[in-house]
Amino acid sequence: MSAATRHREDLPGPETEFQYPSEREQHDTSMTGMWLFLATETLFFGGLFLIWLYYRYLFPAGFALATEHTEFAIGTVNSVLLITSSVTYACGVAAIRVGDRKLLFRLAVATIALGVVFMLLKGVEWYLDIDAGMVPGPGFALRGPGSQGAALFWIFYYLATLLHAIHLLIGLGLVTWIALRARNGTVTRESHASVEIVGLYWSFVDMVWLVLYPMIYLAGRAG
Amino acid sequence: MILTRTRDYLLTWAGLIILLAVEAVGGRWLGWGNVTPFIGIVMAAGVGMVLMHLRHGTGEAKIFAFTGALWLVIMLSLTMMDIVTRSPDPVSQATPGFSLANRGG
Repeated sequence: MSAATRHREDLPGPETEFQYPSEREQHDTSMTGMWLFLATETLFFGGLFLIWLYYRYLFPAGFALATEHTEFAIGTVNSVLLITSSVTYACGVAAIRVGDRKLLFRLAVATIALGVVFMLLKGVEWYLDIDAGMVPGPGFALRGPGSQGAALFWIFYYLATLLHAIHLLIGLGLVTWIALRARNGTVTRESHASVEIVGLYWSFVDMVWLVLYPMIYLAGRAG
Repeated sequence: MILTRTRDYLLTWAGLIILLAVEAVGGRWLGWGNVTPFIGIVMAAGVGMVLMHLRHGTGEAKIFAFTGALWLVIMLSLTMMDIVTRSPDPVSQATPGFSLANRGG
């Protein structure tokens, strides 16, 4: 970072609110606030993780039975897509840090494309699951020993993937907003806190998926 | 600077994909299913430290991130401590024919 840049960031910029003495302090406060929000999100998803741990302990055979019927291939491809999307967006953040708005725009569009493919595959997966009768209730396809635990697993599955998908949709909206800001030139090298904050949110959604993936598709499988 | 950061991100991507491959192959075909959630947690930590820049973050950001993880661990561990040590357990009492000693399906 050049001395001139450091100097600019230590002064109020055009988008600096009145209560901050410098662009840097506003930026750091924004990042800290976002991490506080993500801490609350961690506990929000923590309830889901707790449900899984609790019922998996009580119904290990049923959870293992249900896991065998999940769409492993789609889940794995979706994991690759989300990991890649986090990296493309992080590269976009690095680009705007040196003032390259065009590269940020392109990488944000790539991130959106990866997220959209994830959602489409998730839709296909839900269709296949429902078509296979993996819906707890009168038509539930898994009968006999283990069916009670398997039903609990599928309730967890739909709840967890729906909540994750809602977060991903919000993330897609935010990344689209950043892409538009990059194209319009309203984010700059000196003032780009919004780009970093959206990056934190997007990567958090990725983190949640990385924990959900083994819980849904792998844990309990006999091999 | 951008090249250094991009190199770090690409190395992280490669590391995450390798861990995902280990997780998927081990969990699907080698019977490591019960270990895979721990691999997932390691991968999530990698995303947080590098792609979310926590390692270069402010002290306050690190405190909030650590606190979120700490409360999650407390919630999960205390709840599970209750159910694995309680006797007689509540589910056995509420569910005819169900016993934790011979856990259900």
